[in-house]
Amino acid sequence: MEIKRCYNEQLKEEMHYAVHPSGLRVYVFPKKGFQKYYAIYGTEYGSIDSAFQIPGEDTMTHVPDGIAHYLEHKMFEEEDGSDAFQRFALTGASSNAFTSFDMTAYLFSCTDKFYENLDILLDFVNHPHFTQENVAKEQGIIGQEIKMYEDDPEWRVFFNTLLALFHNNPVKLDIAGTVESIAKITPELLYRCYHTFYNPANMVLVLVGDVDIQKAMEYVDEHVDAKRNLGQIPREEVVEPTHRVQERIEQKLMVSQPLFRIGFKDNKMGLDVDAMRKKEIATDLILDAVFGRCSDLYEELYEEGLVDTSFDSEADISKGYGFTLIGGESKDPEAVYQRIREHLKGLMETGIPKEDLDRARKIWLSRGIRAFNSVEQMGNAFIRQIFAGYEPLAISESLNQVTDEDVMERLREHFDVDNCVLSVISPMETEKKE
Amino acid sequence: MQSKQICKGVDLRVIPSNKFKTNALSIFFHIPLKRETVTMAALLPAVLKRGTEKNPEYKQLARRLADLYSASCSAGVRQKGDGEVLYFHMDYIADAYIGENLTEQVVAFLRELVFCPLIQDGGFSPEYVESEKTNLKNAILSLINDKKEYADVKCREAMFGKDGYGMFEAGYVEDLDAITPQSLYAFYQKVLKEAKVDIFVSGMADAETLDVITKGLEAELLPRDGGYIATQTATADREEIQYITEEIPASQSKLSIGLKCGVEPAGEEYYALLLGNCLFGGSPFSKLFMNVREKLSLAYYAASRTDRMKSVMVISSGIETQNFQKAYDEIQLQLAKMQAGEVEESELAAAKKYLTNGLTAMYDSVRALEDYYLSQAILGQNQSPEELIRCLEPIGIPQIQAVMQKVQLDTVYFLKGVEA
Repeated sequence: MEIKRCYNEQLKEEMHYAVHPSGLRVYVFPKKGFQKYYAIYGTEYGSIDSAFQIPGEDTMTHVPDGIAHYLEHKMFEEEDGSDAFQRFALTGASSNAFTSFDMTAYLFSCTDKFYENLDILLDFVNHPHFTQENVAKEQGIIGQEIKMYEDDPEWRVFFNTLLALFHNNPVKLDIAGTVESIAKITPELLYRCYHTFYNPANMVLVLVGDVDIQKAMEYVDEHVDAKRNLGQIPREEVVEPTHRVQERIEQKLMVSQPLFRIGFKDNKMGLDVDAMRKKEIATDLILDAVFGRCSDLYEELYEEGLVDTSFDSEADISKGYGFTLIGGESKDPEAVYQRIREHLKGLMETGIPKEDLDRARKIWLSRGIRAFNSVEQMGNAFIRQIFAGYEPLAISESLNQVTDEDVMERLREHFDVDNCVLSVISPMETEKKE
Repeated sequence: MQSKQICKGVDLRVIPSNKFKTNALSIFFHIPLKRETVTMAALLPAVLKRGTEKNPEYKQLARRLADLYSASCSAGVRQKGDGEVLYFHMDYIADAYIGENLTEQVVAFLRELVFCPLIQDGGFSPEYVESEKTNLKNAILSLINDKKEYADVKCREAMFGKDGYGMFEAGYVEDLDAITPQSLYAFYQKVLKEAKVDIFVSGMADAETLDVITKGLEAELLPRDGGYIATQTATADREEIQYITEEIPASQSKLSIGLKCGVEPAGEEYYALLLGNCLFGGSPFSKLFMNVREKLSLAYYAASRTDRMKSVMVISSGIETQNFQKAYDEIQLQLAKMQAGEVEESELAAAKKYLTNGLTAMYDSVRALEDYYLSQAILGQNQSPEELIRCLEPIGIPQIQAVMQKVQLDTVYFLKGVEA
């Protein structure tokens, strides 16, 4: 097994990596001087993967919505009825897990006994234990998690935007599923998903801290069976029309003033790694240059009282989906929506001023450098980038690949003012009872 | 942390480190939490951030920050026991990564922002004050958007009343009308002249850097009498538990339970309280997590946390409306177990390790360490997280039991979700 090492002079940061015979990709980012170690062990499997082909089978398997997240909760279960949290309690580590659209990850941070904790992490993620009883028990807990999000206006305005953008792409479905869909989850279904997606070739282990990759590999040898390598898992192809579902979507909730998101659908899919990275960076640069704190547009909207400091933007670009959101709170989301559309129309003609783009580049670079201030931020950002095929240390290099022309091209094809959506959460009219 | 007095009432506090990509510089003004000034204090940083005498437009300030390799600047208020701090925080990329030392420019920026505001007719810009009043009003009202936070704030208010510690630090909508550009400016001048000041420097802090910072700010900070705001420790004083129910349209109900602990924050008992909270509801192996969530499946979260300075504990959970009694009974049962000393030695060992991990990890976060040492300064201590860890070691179950017996339920705030 060959261990590769690279060093970035500008960042003064290193990366060591190797592919284990099982197919597991292992990365170490040595972080000397930090007290904390961080380990994140992820599978490229998230809420969007509800139809897939199990190796050796001819047909597609369809599973209930929310199962990836349910599986994440149940992985902590141990044979003796205890859970992995209690094992970490013995070492003092702080552990957690999360499920996103396209990934499930298990993690811990610690300041002591790193290899002992790594041993626990590799052990519990590599041996599932699902029973009727422990699976049923989780319905109540996840049911409350779903209800918590139902009342969260930020979460609702986000998912409503995706519902208005996407016809078929499963990214529009809530990550935790629904109370109804999770009721259909059985131990047998969990095992099927587990054995398919928790195969080492579909997983990545990222270790941040003063870690020796050789030693870490010994623990991998012990827990990860090379025979479980099933390779990449084919997913059912999503046929997604390029046009939006509906222009406007609105929901009433207990909020003080309207919350809104303006959403843009990414139709430039099926790209190779380099093209996807360029697309992502170009989108980020547009968001900073056109909608960021330094922009003319923000200043104008703020001065007119149409937006406040909650105004923000984000892009989520992955292999299976992509979208960009701009939003915040506003007394008049419709007015903001129209102003943003007009502003974008103008930019299509005039282009983004070079000065604004240069500043956006500095902001982007600064953000990239700052990520190295925190072992958690490093681990979380890098595992995502590794699944996407990016090189985590190539920050300036990736940025320099993106020309001003690339940015303009992205502006024209992605920020289509006739195919965007406005999602609004408006205040419920109700008497408050004490 | 190393400290040096710049002049009476103004201290420079330094947390040196060379492992971060950024350096940080903060100014804190310590003021009492008072009903008369809480709203003005919340409004002031927002007005200052809008523009200065030399750069009257927000965009100019934002662009200057971006040009400094996207230095970040935040300003606001943070509650500290019976007092609050007005903070101005900046961080910027260290010269090793960009080949340019930004310290002088960052100090100049901070100086301009805090000390050279845009003044018109003996007050702040009326336009900025009006627009930030509207924004603050929206921020205060939008508390309801986060139901958990809302329940916690209302619980605290019910425990301590609408003054001092009981207040919502963002202030009150009904105060806004009376605030004028002149009255806010007068408040600002008084704070500048009288309030105790701490300047924190984190990151590369060689003599030259500290010199640049001191020289850049000392002319603005004259000697003053103001000191830290002392906090009166909350002690059980209610004969009967206060129960409050508020109905709102929501899928989930929120439970916020306030307890008074009566523990001196700078005394020995605090160590037992810290461990007691970790065992009761401050960790994933705590009694609340293991029973309310894992055993009874009543909630996704059920946790407790303490405010060291005020000696208050808050238990929060999100539950099904009809499960209120079940959850409440279980929480009381688990508290009773803590008070009966029903804790295993292995659990205590786990709690010590868990807290050691958390406290040691603070050394990796500039913000966490700065806030920790700020609280230390207010408490009149200079105990490092490492020293705090050592103080936890000798604590045994009897001490935790004794401290938990002082912890008394005060208020149960039930934010009851009902159908719209």
